Amino acid sequence: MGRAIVITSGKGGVGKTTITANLGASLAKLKKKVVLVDMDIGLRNLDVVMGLENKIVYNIIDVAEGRCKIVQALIRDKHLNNSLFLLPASQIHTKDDIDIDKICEIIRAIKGSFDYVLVDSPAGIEHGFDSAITAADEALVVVTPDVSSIRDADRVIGLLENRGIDGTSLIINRHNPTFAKRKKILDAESIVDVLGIDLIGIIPEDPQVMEFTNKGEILVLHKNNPTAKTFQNTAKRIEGEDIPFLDLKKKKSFFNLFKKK
Amino acid sequence: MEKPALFRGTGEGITMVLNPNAQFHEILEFLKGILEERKTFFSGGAVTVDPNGVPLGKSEINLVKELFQNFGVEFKLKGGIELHKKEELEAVPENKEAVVIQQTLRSGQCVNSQGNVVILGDVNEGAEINTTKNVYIFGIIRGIVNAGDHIVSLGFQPLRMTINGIQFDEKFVEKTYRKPRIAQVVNEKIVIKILGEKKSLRRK
Repeated sequence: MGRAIVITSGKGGVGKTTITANLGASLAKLKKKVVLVDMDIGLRNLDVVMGLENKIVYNIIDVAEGRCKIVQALIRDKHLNNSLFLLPASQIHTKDDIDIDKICEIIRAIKGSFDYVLVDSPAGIEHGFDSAITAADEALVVVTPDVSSIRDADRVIGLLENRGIDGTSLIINRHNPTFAKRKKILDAESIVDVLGIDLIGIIPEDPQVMEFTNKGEILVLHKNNPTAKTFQNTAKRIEGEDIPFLDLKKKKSFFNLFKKK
Repeated sequence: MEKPALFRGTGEGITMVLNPNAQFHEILEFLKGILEERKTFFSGGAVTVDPNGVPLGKSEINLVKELFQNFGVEFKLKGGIELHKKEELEAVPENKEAVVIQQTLRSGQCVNSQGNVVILGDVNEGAEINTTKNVYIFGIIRGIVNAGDHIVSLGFQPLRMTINGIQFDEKFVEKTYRKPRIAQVVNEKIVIKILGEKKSLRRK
């Protein structure tokens, strides 16, 4: 029986889709069988981030409404074609068209055959969010180091508590340790202090992320830079490995180039 | 720095004179150290303790007595049993649920209750709380707390802490927390956890 994890935030644009793709790929690289489910019905993005938009034949609403079987709607990743799959959202429907019970059945079915089902939740706390968390056992809450994101995350964590989600952890995205040190943005410690849940990943601000999204390629499958390492470390922590958080403040100096990490 | 206690040989044997400027936990640690260091010398003998102005309530005396007994040393208190009386605060549960003390519990003060106890402050060294129910402290425990099921606090530096008879036996830790922690019995040991700790995604 696999683990169904919803990736959510409340606030939009904090990096849920990017994290879903890169975390999913990182878990697949750890030899797990992973399905990524896009629950942003009407505003699908996971397919774009994975570069699979041309391969979509069926989507999750087709499965829910009985027009096809789950396996017909699953799309293999371009590179990890035996371990990473996408179940895309519909672009023509809206969140009002979602039948929560059907979605729950679909996620449960996928859980039975895969190690991980990562559900990319839409922003908000309405019907779309409800449908994304249905059948999820665990949740990853994504924040950026700003007060709006944290307030929304706090709201979401409160809602998750009441919905039978068994485990919750936090990912801080777009982190900038230099800015945090200068008190321009919140540092990880303050964020964890407010939200009070386990911190499982810190992903740095990295312009390459957008570059790769625009190319339709998943960053961790092409690069082994510090950003990619943070995704991989997060995946390893989810798998139970105890990895201390990288000191992202190390400046690239001449001497550092020769240091073994 | 002055020693927490001095040894003196008198006609009556060995006397330990306590330093009135020392904290009780320092004295206890010091005594423990000396007894360990000179185990063979003290074992089988008797030591008289001269409080010399250090307030020693019944609990403190018992702690010293126990310590001595563990090393096989007979314990005597100088000047008979003139115990420093603990000031007992009114502890009638108002609503049968909890009695609330709206201040720090100071040295020498004591709360004995049949119900839950809430302290809006610290429990200073030399203070004591006894209840069969639970204790909730908006501060740090430095004194003695004996509860029935759980103790919630922002810092655990107790002189002595028991829950349902089981003693807290961790070394003195200078940690205080911004959010409350709860001390409970798990597998016959007292364990301190974050209050309302949620399960994480890390695979166990």
